[in-house]
Amino acid sequence: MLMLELRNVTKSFRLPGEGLLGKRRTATVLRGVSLEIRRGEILGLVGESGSGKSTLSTIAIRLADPDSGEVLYKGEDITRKGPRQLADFRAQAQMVFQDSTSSLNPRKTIVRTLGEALAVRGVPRAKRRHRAAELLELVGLGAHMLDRHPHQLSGGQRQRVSIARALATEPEFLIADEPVASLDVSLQAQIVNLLIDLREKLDLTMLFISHDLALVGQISDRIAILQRGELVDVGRPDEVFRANPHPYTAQLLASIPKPSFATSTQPG
Amino acid sequence: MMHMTAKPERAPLLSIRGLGISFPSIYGRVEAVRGLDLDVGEGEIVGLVGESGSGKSLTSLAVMGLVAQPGRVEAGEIRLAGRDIVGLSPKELREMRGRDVSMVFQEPLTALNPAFPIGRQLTDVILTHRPVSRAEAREIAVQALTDVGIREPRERLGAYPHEFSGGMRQRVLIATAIACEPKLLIADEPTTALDVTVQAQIIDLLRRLQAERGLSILLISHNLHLVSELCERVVVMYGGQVMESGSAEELFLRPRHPYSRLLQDCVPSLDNPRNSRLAAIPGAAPSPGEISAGCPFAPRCARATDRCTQEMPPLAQAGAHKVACWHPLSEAVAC
Repeated sequence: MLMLELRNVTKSFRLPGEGLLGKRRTATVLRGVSLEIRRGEILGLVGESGSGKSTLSTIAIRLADPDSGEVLYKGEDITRKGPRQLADFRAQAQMVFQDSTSSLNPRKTIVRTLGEALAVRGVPRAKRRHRAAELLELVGLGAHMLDRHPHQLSGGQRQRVSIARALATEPEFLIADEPVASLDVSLQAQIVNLLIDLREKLDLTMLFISHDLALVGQISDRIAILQRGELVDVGRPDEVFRANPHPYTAQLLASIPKPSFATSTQPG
Repeated sequence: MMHMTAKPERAPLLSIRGLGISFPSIYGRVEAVRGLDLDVGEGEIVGLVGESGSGKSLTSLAVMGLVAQPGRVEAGEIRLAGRDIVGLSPKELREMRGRDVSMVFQEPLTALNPAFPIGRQLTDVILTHRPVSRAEAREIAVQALTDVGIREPRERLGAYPHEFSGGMRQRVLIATAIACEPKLLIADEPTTALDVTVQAQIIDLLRRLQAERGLSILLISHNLHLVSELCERVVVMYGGQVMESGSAEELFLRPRHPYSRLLQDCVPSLDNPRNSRLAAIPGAAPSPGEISAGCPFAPRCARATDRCTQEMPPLAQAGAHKVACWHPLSEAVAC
């Protein structure tokens, strides 16, 4: 069963200023992208800066509308729904952003930040603190963090809070947009493992966006590779990393840092 | 002992001995770097690896003479081209920077001034450090931009930082750093904010500069795979101290310190099984005040014993490495 399906999605943005003869200049960020995310899988989306991967994620969660094409969530086109009809979808599909420093409100304590998300889900005020503590425990933090502000937390802890907030509405579908790009390798591993564990525990479907092909290759059920707004390759890791990969995939593979003396079973 | 002549023949270009850097904190004055030894030979690329808070960036700032108040270099010496730079006057340090040692920072956007064209920023640096005219400085700037692979450098002098991509900005910074022909280049996470393909280009550029100019490079990173790809020797830091050092190949294939091994294992790799969790190091790096008498890594180490929490192991020769561990991994453990 499909969780999310993009059908022929195209998106362009107007560039600032006007071109010759007053023509609008536009940049096409996504060109006819069709992609399926199956229930229960981790789909790894790989692309470099400017490839359109973040635009794709904002369309998938309907923070932006495509110029053309359809976005089906469990078979229903979410691009045609009004705000009220979207309420359920908003609770079911959540997002974890790259930069936990800017995605958490610096003036709010953790319990307030989580409490707001819980309020959206209709959790009564009296139960929010208790539920927030449970959420923190779920992401490996203690209840003593509840009354702290984001600046009192380390980068890794903040990213765990971001994940807890996303989980507050008990979502089925989670988009993680470069959730570990700004973290050290050891913290990166902790956060990625947390996401993998949560997927098992909560039966989540995940769109995991990263520029790190090695990371995505290791944890994903399927991989999609986006280059300048077009999907160039989609498939299971063994299909994408086949003996004769797509030229762009090959270029990404060759860019993974790897000492010459390391033994390799890596194709490409 | 070091001779007082300008350039001893075989002495390393950079030689750090017993470096201690401290900061005031709620725990009192704490040592963020302790008893650190580090050498970089002429034309050598050395990697300094560790997590955030391990003291690696602080060490590099000390080499630049840039440890800011309230931080203080408490102990040790930093010899660069035969001269101890600890205790030099601000004027002497200014002369040293650019000419003897330059640094490339992680964030190419914040390290460049958005309000000035890059040509102006380059020539300002050159005019500060070299006795040349403005016209000559311009030519040196053009050459430096050419050297780092920027096409049509003369035309690009008038361009502002925002007109460059992240990778190109990092090239501009490297051009600025090498324009005064320093002997040592410190690159602090130079590729962290960049795309993988651009990262590969910057690594190639650093390798080429070392080969063509005999530039010595101290590369700082948390990615042991990246460092091992470029460097001849690698130093692993934790809690402000050296945990292990050795040739990149030895350290990668036969790490002796449990921390080096874990640091290597937690880099995702396509050689790992599919659909697998990443190897992680439990817990978090200690803040300087939390470090007790023993090994700073002991609280996170599976091999730690009582001795580890009480007594810091010395950095001792172990085969081809130096390792500071009471219970090092056996040499037979290959990865």
